[in-house]
Amino acid sequence: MPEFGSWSLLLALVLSAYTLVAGALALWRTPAQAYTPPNGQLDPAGRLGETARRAGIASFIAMCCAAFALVWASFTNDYSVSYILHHTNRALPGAYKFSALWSGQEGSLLLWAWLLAAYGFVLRIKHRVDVRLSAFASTILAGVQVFFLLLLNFAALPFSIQPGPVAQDGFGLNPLLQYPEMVIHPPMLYLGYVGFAVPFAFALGALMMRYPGEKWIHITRRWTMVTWLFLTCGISLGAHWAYAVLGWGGYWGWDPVENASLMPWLTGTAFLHSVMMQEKRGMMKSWNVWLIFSTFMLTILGTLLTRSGLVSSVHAFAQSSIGGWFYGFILIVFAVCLFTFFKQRDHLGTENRFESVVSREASFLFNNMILLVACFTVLWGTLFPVLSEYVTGSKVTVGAPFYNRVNIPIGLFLLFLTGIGPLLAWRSTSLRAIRRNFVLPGAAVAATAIVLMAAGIRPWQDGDDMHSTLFSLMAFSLGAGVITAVGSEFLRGAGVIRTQTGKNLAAATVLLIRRNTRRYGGYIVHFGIVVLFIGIAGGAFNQSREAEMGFGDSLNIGPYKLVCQSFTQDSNPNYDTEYALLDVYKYGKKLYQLAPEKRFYTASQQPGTIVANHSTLENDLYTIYEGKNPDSGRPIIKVFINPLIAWIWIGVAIVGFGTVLALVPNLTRAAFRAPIEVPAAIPSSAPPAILTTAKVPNA
Amino acid sequence: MLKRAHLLLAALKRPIQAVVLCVAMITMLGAGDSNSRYERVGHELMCACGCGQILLECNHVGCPDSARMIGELRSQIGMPAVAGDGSTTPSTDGGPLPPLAGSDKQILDWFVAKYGAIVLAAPIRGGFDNVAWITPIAIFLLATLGTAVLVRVWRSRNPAPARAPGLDDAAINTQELRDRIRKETQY
Repeated sequence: MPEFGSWSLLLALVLSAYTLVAGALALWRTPAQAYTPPNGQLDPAGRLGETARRAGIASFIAMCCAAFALVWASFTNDYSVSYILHHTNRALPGAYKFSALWSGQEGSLLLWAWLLAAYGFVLRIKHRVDVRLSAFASTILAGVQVFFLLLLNFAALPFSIQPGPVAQDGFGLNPLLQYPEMVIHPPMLYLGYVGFAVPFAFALGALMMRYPGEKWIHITRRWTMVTWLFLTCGISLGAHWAYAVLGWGGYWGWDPVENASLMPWLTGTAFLHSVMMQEKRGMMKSWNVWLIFSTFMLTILGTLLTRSGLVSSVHAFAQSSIGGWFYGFILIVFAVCLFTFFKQRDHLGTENRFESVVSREASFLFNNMILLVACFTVLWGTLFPVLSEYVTGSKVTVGAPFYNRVNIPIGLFLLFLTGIGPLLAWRSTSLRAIRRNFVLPGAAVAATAIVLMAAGIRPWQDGDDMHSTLFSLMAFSLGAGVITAVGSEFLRGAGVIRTQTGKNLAAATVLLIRRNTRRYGGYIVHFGIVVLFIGIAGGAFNQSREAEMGFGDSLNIGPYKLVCQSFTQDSNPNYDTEYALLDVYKYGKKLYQLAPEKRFYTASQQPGTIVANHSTLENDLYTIYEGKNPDSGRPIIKVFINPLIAWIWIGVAIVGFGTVLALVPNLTRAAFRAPIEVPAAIPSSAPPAILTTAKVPNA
Repeated sequence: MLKRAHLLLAALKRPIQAVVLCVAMITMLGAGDSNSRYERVGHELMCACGCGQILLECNHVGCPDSARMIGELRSQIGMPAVAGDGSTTPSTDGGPLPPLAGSDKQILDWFVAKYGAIVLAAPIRGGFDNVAWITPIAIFLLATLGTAVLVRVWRSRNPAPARAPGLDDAAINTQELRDRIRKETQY
């Protein structure tokens, strides 16, 4: 099977290289009309392009074979394969044997290449949406694919054979990865990372071929949104995994690898917003092109940070010396993007002028600026230790205090814009409209702040925690304002439909959403972001306590009292475990029992923490078994009360729902496209600002 | 349009001043007891074992450094020793536990002298470390300025769209209607 896998990878490389070379040659030699010949007959160059497309499809099949070979080797305990020996063992549960595919460097690169091939497969199958543009995108994707297959064939071989006699058992999987979420978190994240290659390929292809109009944005819109959704889910699953497994009571540690996933998310979010300006107003074309270029390059940079060991990271299980390949690839990608941009920049002229500072366009512009500043801050903090070492000779740490101080104000400003943006009209907003639209959200902000201060959230009384309390107060208040703004948008729209149709408010709201899923799906995403911010803001009120707890010992924290019923140990073929049983009381009433444990994995000889957490909308009671005090033999238990954590996961779910909703076609699409009569023929020389088409743009 | 923006700014002037004043007042307030000081300083330090975690959040089984460092921190702040936290044992160089230090900065300096700059969770030593803090602020200001300039350029670059030859009033009305429809239906 290892031979089968190796040959499959080699075949995939050959096929991808053919797709790249033959595809490029065909595009170079074929005029645009040859891709849509009136008689359906392709000329020789067109036929060459078709063979390139088919080779690209075949490369996906070869990649499937390679991935299957590695999974098969894992399930059959084939320890002649070095990768399987180092990342699995016989006692490993089946799900983790499957997830071993992405538990090490070679496997995760294989996953990357396989997902890229899968995206390429879909793109090539659906090439009829625009044959020539798809051919460009397919060729560019093949170029990316060739890079990863070169890595897999010559630098990070997943099927390399372990020298010497075959071992009887493997070294096991890293204990931190033995958690159900680890079976889906990396594929989700990679679907997000890899997926941005598709809009990148379309954008670069459209620029290369001087694609007329904005159709390429319509084509890639779904790709971009689906990819963004995957990345969002991947990041949040990673945060949940860190919260549930690492056992330090938090979910985001600003580790370089976490940062690496956040950066393309930020630029991708900026792209999703600013691309609307190009669709609707023909503006910001160069900006959008560079946003998607940057997003793709940041995904590669993220992989570089994860794999090269350039910066210190807790994700050390995936470091190696393949950084040079990535440096080279990023340079090539940047050079190609830069060359294409300068060669075709006259194609990116704006079609409309900016009419007012107080407009939807301006809010998008500021939204983009803030997202990019946030991205820069994260990148800066991640790379500053390297810079500091280079300049001063001493390495420094840039940890959570830096990011929190710099990024929290940026985040609050972004939250503010989240509320403002939807209330502004395209082109220009009148003062009257501002007064009308902003009174209610403004009142909600003020009322929430007053109520919260009256309820006891008073930053000036919190001494050292003043800043975090202040930021939380601001987040809650702004959140209330944004929710009011979003809610009023729904109510206003539903009210109009109710008047028109006579339906009740709920039915009218559903109809409103179905008529314009993109707009109202977007609002739901904004609502989810607010819920997420509220969850994050709850972190200002965290409490923690640590104590040795023998039989019958108790620990008080907040309204809870924890009593140790027992502590014991157990073992199975995969690990030995120690755990404590803690009864939890609130105001004297027993609520439930928690059993935090510490495992020691036999094969890898490494410990792992299994947190016991009870989550409610109000707070999480989060307990950790830290180990036994060697002097007293009693377990040391650390307990956290983490308020509003569940809101974070709920917020992410709402964001996901809103994104999926925005992907659903509008109910009355055909009706929206019904032509409006335009009197007389408008001369073709009319300025672009005046509409010359016979249809109202589809909302 | 510019006049409208000025009017808007004028209307918001008082609330903005009030918010700035509140923030400034709140920022200048504050004091802490030794427990909160322990939490605050402990979250400014990293565990020296290389795990990349904040000192008070390091939870490795058998971590060679965190218990001792936490003990040193408690001692520096003048908090009583806790069994198992390492504060009752001598420091690794065999000497007595460090003496009670004065300010937070002195405590942090003591840790830097012993473990190196990498023990600080954020670059706060001054000198080149300041670059870490100044750069994001500078970028933010430059980006804001750049955005303002961009808006100005875009507003002045293209003249207002001229009326297309041959359009009569009915056509203009339709056009206005279309504009309105677009404004009201676009996302």
